[in-house]
Amino acid sequence: MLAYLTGRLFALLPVLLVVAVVVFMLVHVTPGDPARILLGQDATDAQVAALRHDLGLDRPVAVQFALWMGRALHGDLGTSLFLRIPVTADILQHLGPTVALSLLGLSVALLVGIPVGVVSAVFRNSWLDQFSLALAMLGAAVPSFWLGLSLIVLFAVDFGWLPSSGYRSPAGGLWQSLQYLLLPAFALGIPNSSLIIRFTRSSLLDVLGNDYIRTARAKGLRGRVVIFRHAFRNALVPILTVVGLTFAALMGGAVVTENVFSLPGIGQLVVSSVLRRDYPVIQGVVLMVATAYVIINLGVDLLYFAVDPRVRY
Amino acid sequence: MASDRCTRANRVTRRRFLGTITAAGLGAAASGWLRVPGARDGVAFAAPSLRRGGTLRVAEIGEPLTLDPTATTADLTSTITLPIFEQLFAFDHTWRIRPALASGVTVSNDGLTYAFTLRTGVPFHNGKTMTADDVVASLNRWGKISPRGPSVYQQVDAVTGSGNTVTMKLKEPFAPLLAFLTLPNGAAAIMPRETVDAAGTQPLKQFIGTGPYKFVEWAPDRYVHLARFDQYAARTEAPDGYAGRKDALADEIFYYPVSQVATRTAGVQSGDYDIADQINQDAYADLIKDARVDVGIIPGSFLTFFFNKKQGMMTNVKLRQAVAAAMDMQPILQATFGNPALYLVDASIYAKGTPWYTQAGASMYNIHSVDQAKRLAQEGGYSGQSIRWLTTQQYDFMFKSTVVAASQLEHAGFKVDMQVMDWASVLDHRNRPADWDIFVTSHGFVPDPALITVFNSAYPGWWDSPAKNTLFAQFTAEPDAGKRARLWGQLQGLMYQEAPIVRPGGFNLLQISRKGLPGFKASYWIVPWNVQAVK
Amino acid sequence: MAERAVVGAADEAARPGVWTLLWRMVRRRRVVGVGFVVLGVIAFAAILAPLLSPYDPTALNVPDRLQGPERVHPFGTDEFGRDILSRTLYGARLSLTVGLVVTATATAAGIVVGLVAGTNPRADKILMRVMDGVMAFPDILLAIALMASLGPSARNVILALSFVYTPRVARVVRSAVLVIASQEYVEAARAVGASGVRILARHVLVNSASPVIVQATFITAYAMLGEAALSFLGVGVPPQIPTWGGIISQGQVYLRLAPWISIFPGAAIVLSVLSLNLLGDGLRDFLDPRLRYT
Repeated sequence: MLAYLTGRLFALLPVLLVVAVVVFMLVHVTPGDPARILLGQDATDAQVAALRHDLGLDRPVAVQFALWMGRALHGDLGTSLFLRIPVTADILQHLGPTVALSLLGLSVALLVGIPVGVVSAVFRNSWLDQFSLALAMLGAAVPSFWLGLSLIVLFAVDFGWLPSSGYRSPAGGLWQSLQYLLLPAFALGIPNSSLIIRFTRSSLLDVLGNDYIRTARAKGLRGRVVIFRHAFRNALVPILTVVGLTFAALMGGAVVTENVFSLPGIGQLVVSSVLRRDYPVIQGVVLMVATAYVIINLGVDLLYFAVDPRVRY
Repeated sequence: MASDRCTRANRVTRRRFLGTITAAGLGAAASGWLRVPGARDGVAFAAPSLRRGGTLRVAEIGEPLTLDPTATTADLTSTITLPIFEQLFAFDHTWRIRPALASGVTVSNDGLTYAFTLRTGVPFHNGKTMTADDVVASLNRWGKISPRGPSVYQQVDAVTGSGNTVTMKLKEPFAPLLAFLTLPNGAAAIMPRETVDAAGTQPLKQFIGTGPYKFVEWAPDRYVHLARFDQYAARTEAPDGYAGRKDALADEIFYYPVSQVATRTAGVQSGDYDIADQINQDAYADLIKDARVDVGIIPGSFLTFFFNKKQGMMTNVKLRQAVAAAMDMQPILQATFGNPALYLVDASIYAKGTPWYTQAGASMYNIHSVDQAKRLAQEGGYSGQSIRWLTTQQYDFMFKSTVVAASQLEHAGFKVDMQVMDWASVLDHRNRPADWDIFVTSHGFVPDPALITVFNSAYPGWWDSPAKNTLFAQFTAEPDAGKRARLWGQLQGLMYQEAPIVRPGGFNLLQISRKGLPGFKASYWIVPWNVQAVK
Repeated sequence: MAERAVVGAADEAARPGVWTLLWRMVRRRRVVGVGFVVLGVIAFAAILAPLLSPYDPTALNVPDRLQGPERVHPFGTDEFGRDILSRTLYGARLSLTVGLVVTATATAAGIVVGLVAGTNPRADKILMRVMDGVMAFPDILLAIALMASLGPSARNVILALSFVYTPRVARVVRSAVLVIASQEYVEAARAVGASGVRILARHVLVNSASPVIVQATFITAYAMLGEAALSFLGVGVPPQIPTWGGIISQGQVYLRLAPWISIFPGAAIVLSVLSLNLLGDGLRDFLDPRLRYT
């Protein structure tokens, strides 16, 4: 087990290195001189040269990368061009809403996806099944921003049940925080539930057709017990894969949802940074998110490992 | 009485532009103040019915580039810093100048010496008491780094202070001096001398003023947080516009950057925000029927397209005139503002009924002739270069007006490179002459035409012609009001002649607040004091 | 991942034609046919947009602004009086073009990378790490970051999205290559004297065709959604060019006043993506049901 864990961790490192290289190159392939962008067009050449030296821009690219990586490993991701605060601080400030939204969105996706998938599998080929699948397909095709806008118009403006935008930290009251996150969570979760529906359905179908299930039924166990005790646990494994995939999709999808609902999360930070050309922030966020995703995937793999003994090798 | 005019102005007349209410002097409707029905006009300050406490939540158009009230003309910054800082004087709702931190001023007969008497015992947010030293330092900072200050300070000989008097000596008379010192935009805000010295030419790091609210925190992209300043030294006169007594009823104020207008609007409708600034005019018809919101109409703004006269193709006056000739103002304004009651196609910058109303230059306004445009372009040597136009989607009207105008220009044979970016980037880029040819912005109502940014050679666009400089100097030196009005006519005419900007026309701004927000009156820069918070 | 390649096409003496295959596929699941038809209609509309559009999509007609759907303007007009039907048709051009070009680019690049990785064990280690690295980013986030460096334009959107989706194709091709390379008949073919390249070309490409085609179909859908999201956020195609995402974004302000601005392009996106997904599903089920988990 430990060997497996360490093996996986080591396999992570090259991937993270690639991630870092990609992120680093994001800025350094930009046309234009970062130092000049920082100082503005009116700066003298002497000022620009001085800043370039300060920032280490006159060193070879490989050296620059090493320096940047070194700082990054210490948690120093540079300073925001626009807000003049450390990128790390900026990111941490924006982290809360995104984490809350992603978790809630994942919950929605699972709460909608798994039951529907189960129903679909159990009543396979019935009208219920077809209907669920059709809905799943539709859900996947709807752009999350469109869904978000429609939800706002319906629930926040027309019915007035929920707030239309903004964010309240859970620290100030869990229930209130939930109210602000509910619509975004649905806008995010529904399109992502379709994959879960389909995966749940197909893996459950697979498992239900297996011999040991028939044995269990032959033994006389009631249908529901069969499903929930035996089938479901085994169907969990592929579902976990999807959860990992979904989480990445959520973090990406959160960008658009945060924009529609004005949630001050990482997604909105990225978009405003792009619009402002605030490269240190863009780099920092992308690096952080990718790293988080890789680690979460590792976590999912470990869960996989724990849930299914057959996977151990 | 002022309130009558205002009440009449409140009702929307489909065919009448709301700014054309006749009034002696600068009527309230033309000046930028409109009463919300039911709110009391500044008679006796009726505080007893309004309670203290709660939080006021304001939805703004986005994240400010800076919170330094002196350094920028960005209205967003002016709005957010309005409760924090105060100036020597303040405008009331008729745009008359009222004492604020100064208790009065005496001007010498030759108009060269202004002696400001300061109030005593006025505390800053850090506990220090305001002295003449602080005022001198603040004024000098304004004269050095603010957009309008340096051009005024060219006329300033010396600013000295002792005891509770500050004396400003001018080289030549400057009639609108007080208006310049009073405008809360690019403001001559009074701050402690230590803050001024510490900042130098860098952006302000500390935001310490004398206002009813003190700065607490600026969480970028989340909010700017202000809290009541308990030791605030309020004036005793009744509240009137930006002047008079300011009671910090709400414990705290939050300004949220909400860049999407739909979200701002929905937020007030659903009760998340108390006030939302800059609402798109198209929504007016719907919003006045909405029982959840009050709609505030703020007249007196006008749309502007600024040409880059320092560098690039628009240094050529013929090309500028060509561009102006190509534009058809009616569709531009209609597409941008929608409701005909909320915009006006008229050459005069100031509304009818005000002393600054003039049709000078009207012959060069709204020509909308493709032939003339092409002819002028040819005379100007236009050879197909792309006109780089800075615009943003953050201010809805900026983007929409650009789309229509650019389309008209293309129709007239110009090539337009529309560069859409966020407002902060526009502000950034427009400071660099190499980066643009046209940018779009709007101008709010100002009580003295000398304050209009286009006349300031340092303002992006950089209108610096000898004709303008001479005429403008005459305009500011002239003490007689009648003569000034005539000179203004000449200035407006020159503006249409030399085309430093294209001014498609005037429009009204929309602000919404939750229904019946006690004490709130819509204004160009939001006034959050004397307003009772609901939550 | 495909565990066993589909039987080598070289073994089939008389391969059924493409149309026959399609017909069989549709007969299996009627709904796939619907997807096909819808996609065809959209493609048709996109190609013939200049002929079908009743108006110039950029022509302003301000007095006619914000009109609801009516005879003169079947999809209504926007805030500038531009005809939404024409804009949606032209938007189809851009959205479909982006989708198809991204797919073509990502597929081509993915095939190259996958081939190299599958045949060259040393390159494989590096390449696969790189692919894993790129796939470590959430799609939209990476695309947005790339757009920041590249600047907003249709070409850059295509570049960014192609970069994002290449790894998917690469992995699929690589798997197919690895599997084929171990098949005995490849060794047999070698023994007979067929050169390595020809073996690759014939067997690998043909056998990885199925998963690649399936992936490509889904990538088209992702690319269209991705472009819509980028344009919606304002970091994609510049707002002057009509794209579905851009039209919806500009229609946001008028959601109550003029919902048709957002409804029709939104419906167009949903239809396109839906039909692509149906097609992809149908292809997958038809070509190799075991691909269900890819």
